[in-house]
This record gives sequence, structure tokens and C-alpha cells, in this order.
Amino acid sequence: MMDKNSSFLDYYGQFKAKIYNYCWYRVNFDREIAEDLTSDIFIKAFSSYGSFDQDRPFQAWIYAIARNHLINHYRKSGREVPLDDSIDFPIDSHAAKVHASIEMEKVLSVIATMDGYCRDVLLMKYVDGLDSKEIAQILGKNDGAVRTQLSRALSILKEKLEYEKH
Amino acid sequence: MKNIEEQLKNLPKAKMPLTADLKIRIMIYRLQWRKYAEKQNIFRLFSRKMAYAFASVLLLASTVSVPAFAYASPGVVKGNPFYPLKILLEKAELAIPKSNEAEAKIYEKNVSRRLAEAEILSKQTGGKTADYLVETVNQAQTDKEKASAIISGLGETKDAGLLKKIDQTEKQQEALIKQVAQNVGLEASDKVVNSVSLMISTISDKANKADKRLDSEETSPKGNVGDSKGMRNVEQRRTEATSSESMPIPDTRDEAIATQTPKSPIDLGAEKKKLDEMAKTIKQDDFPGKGADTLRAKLETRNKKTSQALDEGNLGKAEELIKESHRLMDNAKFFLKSDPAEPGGKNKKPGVSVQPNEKPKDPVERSKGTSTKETLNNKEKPKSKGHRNNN
Repeated sequence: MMDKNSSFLDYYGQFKAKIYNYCWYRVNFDREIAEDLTSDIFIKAFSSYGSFDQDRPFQAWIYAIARNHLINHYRKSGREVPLDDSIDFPIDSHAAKVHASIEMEKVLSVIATMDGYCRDVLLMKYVDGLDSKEIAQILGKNDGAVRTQLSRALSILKEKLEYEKH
Repeated sequence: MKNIEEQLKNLPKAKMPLTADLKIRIMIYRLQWRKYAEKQNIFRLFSRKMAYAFASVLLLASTVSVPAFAYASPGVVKGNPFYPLKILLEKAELAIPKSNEAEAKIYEKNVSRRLAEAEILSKQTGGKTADYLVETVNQAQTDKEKASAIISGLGETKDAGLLKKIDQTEKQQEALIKQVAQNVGLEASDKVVNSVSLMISTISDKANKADKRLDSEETSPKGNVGDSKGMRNVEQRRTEATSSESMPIPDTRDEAIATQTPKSPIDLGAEKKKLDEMAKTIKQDDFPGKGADTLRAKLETRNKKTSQALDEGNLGKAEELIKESHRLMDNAKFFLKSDPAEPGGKNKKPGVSVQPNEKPKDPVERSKGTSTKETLNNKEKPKSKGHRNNN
């Protein structure tokens, strides 16, 4: 948590990777679009930084902006589903390819078939590293609902993965 | 479930490319700079607006206050940058059509102003102060003559209130010019002494007449100056006072009389001899310190010039010089600087106790038994109307 007098660039340094990752996972792992979206999100945040309430967590604020911006992006591009079975696994870098396993591909494929709420909760929890409280703040839900949703999403994922094994 | 969670935690995390990071940072810096620049522009705009407003207020204030200051302040003397503005405003005041009484009042007010300026100038030294002082006193003299001419031209229509007010003003003017004389001292240049001396003679004479008038009005059972009879009495007394005493420098009324009355020539040679005698009788007791020597030297210089003028047949100049000498003798006591160490203070004069509004007895008069004025009065009134009217 940064202090109240933190400059926007300090926040940017802290959250740039998370926001980039957040976008990357939601635009079919398109690096260029993720970069553009990240850039847009931070510029939008900078423009509204004067109205940002420093007593509130910056993380929740920047994620809320990112989420709204992505919704606008989907609306403009005419597509709702960012992850699709039809696309190749997006880890195009050498390192990612090394670490990517078949299991992970399966996991991602299953996540891609889940509804938006479950997918968001899972990715925020395990990719972005947010806890249920932070996810609740970003999504505008209560903590309990997020936990329940998270548990439900994991169950669905487990079931689907076991089903695919058989 | 734990296995799934482990798999989820190991999902790939993209690292933001450095170029994208730099690009975003540059954009943020640019936006920050633009925001700062906008703030600066707003500040500049604000400053400019404020500057315009301030300049407007300043201009308005200076338009009103500077002339008001110049007009009202006696500190604005000749040589001050605002002095022409002061004179301009006075001229503008006179240019507005008004009654004769009002015009006379303005001239009297201007005399008081000039004398107040002279009083300030008399405390200063160096530069053109002496010239400024002479010009200021001469201007006061001119205004005084104009005021007198207007008042005398009013005839029976004179307002007793106006006369009373002018008389009171003259008392103040007398105090001012005497203060000027004391400040400059006998050591001052001839032109300063002549000018101040002439003004003292003019004002003192008028002020003394005013004293008499006021005294008689106070003691008179018919002191109601408001009725026509009272008015006539005041005017009559004023005329009597004017005619009964000679004025060293006759005012315009005297000038009018002078032009009508043929004059017999004054015995200038005899007058000069008297002045020579007077110069010899100046006592050290009456003019302590270097006062007697200075006065004697000034008189002797004038007498030499008078002799020269007489030899050259320039009677007008000789007459003027004799008159100047008489005025100097009459008013020399006012030029004596007060000795702070001497008990008696500022008004303590050698052998003469000068009270405010009281004309002291002349040292020369005491020594000779006759006034220099009387000396001249025993003769025919000189044709000349003062050194400035000589030409």
C-alpha cells in the first residue's frame, strides 16, 4: 500500500505488470492489443487521477478502470469472449512455451469455456494474485459471494478437467 | 483440488515489454507536463488579468489621487515634478466663471499656498532653491495684488464676511512670510531678501490694517456687519486705513490713484544720504552676531548702486534701490535667525519683543526716532510701484 502522496508514476510502476497481464489474458493473449489497452488504461487513470480518492485502494480503482475499458473494447470490437477454444495457446514467447504444458493448455481451454464471472474470479485469484476481498472490491460484489463463486468455479474446472481425462 | 490450484498458480504471466513500458511512461510524462503547462497558463492568465485590474485601479487612483495630492499638498513646491500640475489645476479653478468675491478668495488662497511653499523652500538649500523661492514669493505678490484689485473693485458691494475672512487669511500669510524671512536670514542673496522683504511689507501693512478694522468692529456698538450701513462703515474704515498709511509697495488701488495724481520728484539725493546715515546707526545690540555687519554691508552695497544710478541719471533705478533699502531696514529684524541658546525662544529679537500678530518696533526707528516709512511718507509717494512694476 502506497502512501497518500504517492505519485501516479509510482502507482504505474507497481501495477503496470498486473494490468498488462489482466489485459493479455482477456484479449486472446494478443501482446499488441494488451499493450495498447494497458497504455489506454493508465492514460485514462492519469486523466482521472485528480478525482481519485487517496483513502481508497489504488488497486481496486485501476482494476475497475481496466475492467470498464475492456468492456468498451469488447463492445467496439464486437466480441464478448476473449478466450476461445479455436485460438492457439497464446504463449508465443520462448520462455512461456517452455513452461507451458499440455495440462496448462487444458486448464486454459476449460477456463475459456466458463462464464465471464467465473473466469474473472479465477484469473484474478490465480493469475493476478488478488485475494477474495480485493476481487470483491473490483467486481463490486461482497467478499462472501466472491468466495462462493471462486469455490464454484474451481469445482466446475475440476469436473471439466476430469471429464476431459476420461 | 489442490492440484488444480497449483496448476492455476503456474499459469503463465506475461511480462510487459520494455518498449511498451517506456512508451506509456513517456505518454504519462507528456501528460504531466501538459497539465503543468496548463496550470502555468492559467496562472499566467490569472496574473495577466490581475495585472490589468491592478493597472486599471492604479491608473484610476493616480488619475484622482495624484492631482489631488499635487493640488492639496504644500510639499509640492517649485521644482517638484507635480508642481506644474498644481499650477494647472489652480489656473483651471480660476478659469471657471465665478463671482468677484469667489475669485478674490481663490487668489488669497493661492497667496497662502505660495507662501506655504516658500516656507518649505526657505528650509532647503542648494540647487535652484533660491530662484524657486524668489519666483514663488513673487507669484504670491502678484496674486496678492490681483486679489486686492478685485476687492477694491467691488466697491459698495463688498461682503463684510469676505473682508473678515481675507483679513484672517492675511494674518496667516504674515506669519508665513515672516517665517520665510527668518529661515533665509540676512545672509541670503539680495534677490531673495528683496523679494521676501517686499512681501512682508505688503502683507504686514494689510494685516495691521485688518487688525485695526477688526478691533474697531469688535468695539463698535453697531457691529452688525451684515446691514448696508455696517458694510459701508467697514468699507469706509478700510479706505481710511488705506489712505491714512502709506504702503511701501502700493497695490493696484494706489496705482490707479498714482496715475491720476501728478507727482513731484523725490529728493533722491537726500534720501540716499539718510540711508547712509541709517547704515551707520545700525547697532550690534540690535542685530547680534554677524547680523549688523551683514545688514550694513547690504545697505552700503545698495547705496553705492544708488549713487551710481543717480550719477547715470537713472532716477527710476535709484528710486527703486532706495525703496528696497527702506524695506530692508523696515523688515531686517524679521530676517534674524533665532538663537536657540538664547532664552526667549524663536520670537526673541534683539531689543525687540515680537509677539505673534504684533509688529515690532523697528530698531532703526528706535535709534532714529522716526520710521523709514515715515521718512518716505513725508515725501511725495514714489511713482514706482515696486521693483517688479518698475519696467
